[in-house]
Amino acid sequence: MERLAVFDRCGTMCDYVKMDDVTETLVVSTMDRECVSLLPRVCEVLVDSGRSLPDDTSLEKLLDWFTGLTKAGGSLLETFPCLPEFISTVVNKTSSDPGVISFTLRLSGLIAATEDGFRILQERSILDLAFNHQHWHEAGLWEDPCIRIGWIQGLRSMLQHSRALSFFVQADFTLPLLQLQTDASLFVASAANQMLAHILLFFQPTSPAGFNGVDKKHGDGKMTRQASIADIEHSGIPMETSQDYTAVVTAISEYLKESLVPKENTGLHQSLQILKLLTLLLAQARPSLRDKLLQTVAGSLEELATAGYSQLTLPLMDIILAAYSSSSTDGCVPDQGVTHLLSSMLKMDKPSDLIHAAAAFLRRGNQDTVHTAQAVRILLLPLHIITGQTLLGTNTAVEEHQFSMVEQLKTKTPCISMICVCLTNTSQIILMPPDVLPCPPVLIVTAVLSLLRICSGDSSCLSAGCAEVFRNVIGSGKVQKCALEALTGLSSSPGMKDKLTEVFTVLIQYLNNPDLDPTVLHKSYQALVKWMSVCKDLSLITHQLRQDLSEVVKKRVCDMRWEVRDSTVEFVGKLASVVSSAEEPCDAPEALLGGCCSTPLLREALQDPESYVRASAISALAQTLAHSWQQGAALTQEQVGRNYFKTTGRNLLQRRILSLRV
Amino acid sequence: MPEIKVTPLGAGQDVGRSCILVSIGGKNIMLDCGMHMGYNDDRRFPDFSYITQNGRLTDFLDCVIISHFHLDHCGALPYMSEMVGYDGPIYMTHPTKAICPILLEDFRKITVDKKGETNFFTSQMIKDCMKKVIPLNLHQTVQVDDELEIKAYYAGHVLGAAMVHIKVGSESVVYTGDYNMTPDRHLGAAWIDKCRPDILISESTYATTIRDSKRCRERDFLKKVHETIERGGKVLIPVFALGRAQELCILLETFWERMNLKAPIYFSTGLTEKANHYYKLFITWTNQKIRKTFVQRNMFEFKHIKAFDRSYADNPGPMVVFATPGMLHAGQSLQIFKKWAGNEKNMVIMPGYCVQGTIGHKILNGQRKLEMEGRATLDVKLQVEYMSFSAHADAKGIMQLIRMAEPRNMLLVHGEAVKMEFLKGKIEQEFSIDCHMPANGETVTVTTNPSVPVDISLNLLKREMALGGPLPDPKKPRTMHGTLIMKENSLKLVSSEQALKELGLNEHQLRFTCRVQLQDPHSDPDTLHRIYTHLKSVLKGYTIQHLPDGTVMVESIVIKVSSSAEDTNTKVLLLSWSYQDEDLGSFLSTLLKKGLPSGLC
Repeated sequence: MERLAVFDRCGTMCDYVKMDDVTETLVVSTMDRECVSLLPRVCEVLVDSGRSLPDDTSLEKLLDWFTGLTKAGGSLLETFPCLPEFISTVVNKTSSDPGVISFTLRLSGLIAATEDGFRILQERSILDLAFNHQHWHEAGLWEDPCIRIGWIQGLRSMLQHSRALSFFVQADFTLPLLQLQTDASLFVASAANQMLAHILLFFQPTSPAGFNGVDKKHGDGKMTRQASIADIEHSGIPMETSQDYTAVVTAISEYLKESLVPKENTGLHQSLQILKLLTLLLAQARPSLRDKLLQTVAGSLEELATAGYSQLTLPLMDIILAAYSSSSTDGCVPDQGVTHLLSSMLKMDKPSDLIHAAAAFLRRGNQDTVHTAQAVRILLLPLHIITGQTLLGTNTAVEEHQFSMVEQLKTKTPCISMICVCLTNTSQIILMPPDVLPCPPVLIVTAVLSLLRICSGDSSCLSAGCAEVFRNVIGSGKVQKCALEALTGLSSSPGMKDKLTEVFTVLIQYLNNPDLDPTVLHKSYQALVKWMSVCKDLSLITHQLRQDLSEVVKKRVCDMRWEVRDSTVEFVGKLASVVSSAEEPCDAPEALLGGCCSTPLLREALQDPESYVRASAISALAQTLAHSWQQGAALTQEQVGRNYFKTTGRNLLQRRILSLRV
Repeated sequence: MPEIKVTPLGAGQDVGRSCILVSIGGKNIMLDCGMHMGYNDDRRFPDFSYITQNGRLTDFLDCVIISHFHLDHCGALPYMSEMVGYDGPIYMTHPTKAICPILLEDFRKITVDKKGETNFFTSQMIKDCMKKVIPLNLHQTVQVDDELEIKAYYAGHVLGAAMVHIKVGSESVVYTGDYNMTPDRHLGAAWIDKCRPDILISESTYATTIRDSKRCRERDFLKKVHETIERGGKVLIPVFALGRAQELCILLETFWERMNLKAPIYFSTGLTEKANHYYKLFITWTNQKIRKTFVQRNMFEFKHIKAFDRSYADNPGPMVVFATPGMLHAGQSLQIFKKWAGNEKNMVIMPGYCVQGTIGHKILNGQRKLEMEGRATLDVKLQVEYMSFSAHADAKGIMQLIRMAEPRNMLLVHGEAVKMEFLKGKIEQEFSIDCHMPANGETVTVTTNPSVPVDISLNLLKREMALGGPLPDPKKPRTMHGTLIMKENSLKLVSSEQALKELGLNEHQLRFTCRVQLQDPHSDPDTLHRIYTHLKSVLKGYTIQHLPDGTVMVESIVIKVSSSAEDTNTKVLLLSWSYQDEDLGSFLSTLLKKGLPSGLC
């Protein structure tokens, strides 16, 4: 127990040292010196511990401390000469706690990250044993995921220099590492993927000036970039390293090629992991490595794209886009094979996969006009079908998907999912150049408003669109929230002023709905504020709309649910900032609330039983009154309420107003 | 085969923080979203990138369910909803929704305001997160969407703690959160229906603990308080306003009464107001005794426990004070601690967990010199005691819950690996069910029995009843003949005639034929008659006819006789029967192959 107390104390001190940023400067403070002197005893405790430590974070913190010291330029072996002995004892003693072994493996990697550290540990034959996975297999410890994580992370830390790479290659660690890619533990599998990416990216040669590593032979529709192993060799890197690296690249690429296409449905997990690795690699690989990888897996990628595994659509799309855009940024014409793959992904049969692929395409940023126009049309298709608004015109390129999309929209879960993807992307769609858009942005707003009406069961809209799909979206909070977010995002596109009245009408209808979910109501308020602030010219809001808004705000501020009252109070506060930024500033939010005085309303809210609402009322009052002050009015006790001034709320309010004025 | 997948991102073979992902019937649910109190950086939150790398969390998760207000179960919620970006439904009980933001705000103050840490949620984020929460009532089935439903059960542990039953179609999972199977001094015991879930995910904090341990702790607590009082010292008990404070007050009140002690016991005013407010609000969540007491008097109208005034801290002589906050990081408890820390006769008893960086954590780690504001140091001479009064089910309690719910599989979380291993063995031995204990990041996959709902036509049911069968009873399955048809994505069992009608198909009769050779030295008509007589004697109760067209019919089976061209004594019998009489047709062919008895006329 006493020994464990020593360990805890050291853990606490490590925290303290880190908090004070002492490690950054490597100033050996009193506390640091105390830690250094305590470490041998801590090591003794760790060597002797046959069972789990009481605090599972203490080893992590100790490692953080070591990492901090290393980053600051210190040598762990010089500062703590006891460490090699400690590591040697732990790795030889398989009865140690798995947590301690894992820590030791990571510590070994940290020390071996420098060539000196590596040499010293090698001379004592520590690394051979520590990273010999057979040794841990035989001890029955490999089953424990923390040992596997320790092994991977230790190697990952170590692989910072060519000697470590040689060690890795000679020990033949590539295959076990590839096998860990499909480990039962998510953490191990992910760490293995990161590690594989690290090896390939860290040791990749820098391209010589003017080198683009490609020999284009376009024309047969396949990926034909010819990149040879020789391309990735570089004169600046020692021959041994280059050979080691080439061996690793070859082994990994061959494995990826063989395993990318699942042999049966159960192999999807492996394909997914490989796709994730390829995405990591393609995002950062230099042309030579990128081309080599693409050349190796091109056939498999095509095969996967044709097979149409729904689970793999998004990662596959990510890779294709990564390859497509990275080759474009090199100043080359995108590879025909990649372009072909991209086109086929945007023509998939299954509507839900198709729409996700289109969304992924748009998310990636500006691409070529043809594909962008296709993606936009696909994304707008569900909205076009449901609302009956002719967003895509009559003669469209996505007509082939219309039938299958309608069929899919008739089933509730995919319907909601697809319409939400469509709505989430509308704000991105309106940013596209006009020649890509199949309709003016105003029409998209009209469609979103129609959808909002359909969701609330407004029968006037039910004649235009697809009746069999309506039942799936009526009352769906998820669709309503997405549509309101889309409406908020669409407010900034040009020419929206004309829609202001319609938007207000729909949103006020929403706010009036007694059964409305508080989160939907919150988003309705947000949309209102955004449209008001973007449109600037508040005179466009008719007197009747102001009256209606005022009525609903008065009603909602007394709602049973505190969430609704709070959102309403927050809304009133935000009106003040909208008014102050308007083209023709009016007196106060009252002007927008059709003469309803917001201050008394907020004053009432100061007495709300829910503290959150009271706090929002203070904030809203501050925003409103700060606006009045700017208009030259004096803050009177009457404005805030005599009683409230007597309470501590006054201080809070004044502080809040001052902060706003500043 | 359908399967349920469970992946702990936290609480897998540890007690750091709870965050468990469940995939059931195509729905993805997150159970608890806890924070690891042992870290000061992003490692305190679950790594949500493991859930989905492509797309938003909202697109992947169907809902988040929080079992109770402890931060290791709900502390990462505002981070997830407001910083990572989850906009879907969050469920918790009413008391949890009320108390959770108080704890989160308290922790935020320590982390951001006191320690100056960044990348942490703000007060506004806590509020915005809480506004997304949908409160649950006990035993009320809540429909998350058309397919997914959840139901909360009482879990004891702390005010508002709940277990939750998650159901998609015929598949279901129960998640216990933290629970207590024995009633304590202010809360009741956990209870659940015999819901027979496919998986019961249970906490296992005290997987190897024996039942009496809590009573021992209580005795120990009272002994320590009593000894300090006897030697003239003062006892400080820093507590969080809700939870164990009420239990310990009741414990001391009873002890003082029994021992006729005179030393004053005080509690801080904030504590009373908050506690009374929440206990009044959620009185139905306490145990029966408290509910009765509450009708008669205020929860804190104890005989021996009085309200505290800050001037009392300087009074001479022994006393016991309950003060907030529980980790000695600020407020009244810290002020009292500073005054009393220098006297070795005094004692501070920490009844719960203390976050790193707080005075509570430091003194529990043995620090005897504390740096206070303005570089002043405080010598800690008073005695420091830690006593965990958290209420978890022990091994017996866990077994009791399994007996109650009758799960098909068991999955242990929120416990230490060694203890889990022991309990796993016990469970598998006693209940003969599989028990899993995945580590963090490991996925357990359990295959479930597929169940497809089928409508049965009324006509078919009436026909079955007309045949004299018993009325349909879900507990007594029996064979029923009909035609299964799929129309508009739903399955129907109807009579074959109705099936043909509904599907617009023509009926085709399928007949089996068979030739049997027989040695019979008679004319063909005689042989046929002999067959008729033979069958009449063998097949009692069947309709057997000798038809004028030279055939014998047994039900739908037709038998014809012809002589062989080569040998007139060799008769060739042609049997033909419909699909419905397949068994009888096979029987007849076998029977006739044996030949006709010699005595037949």
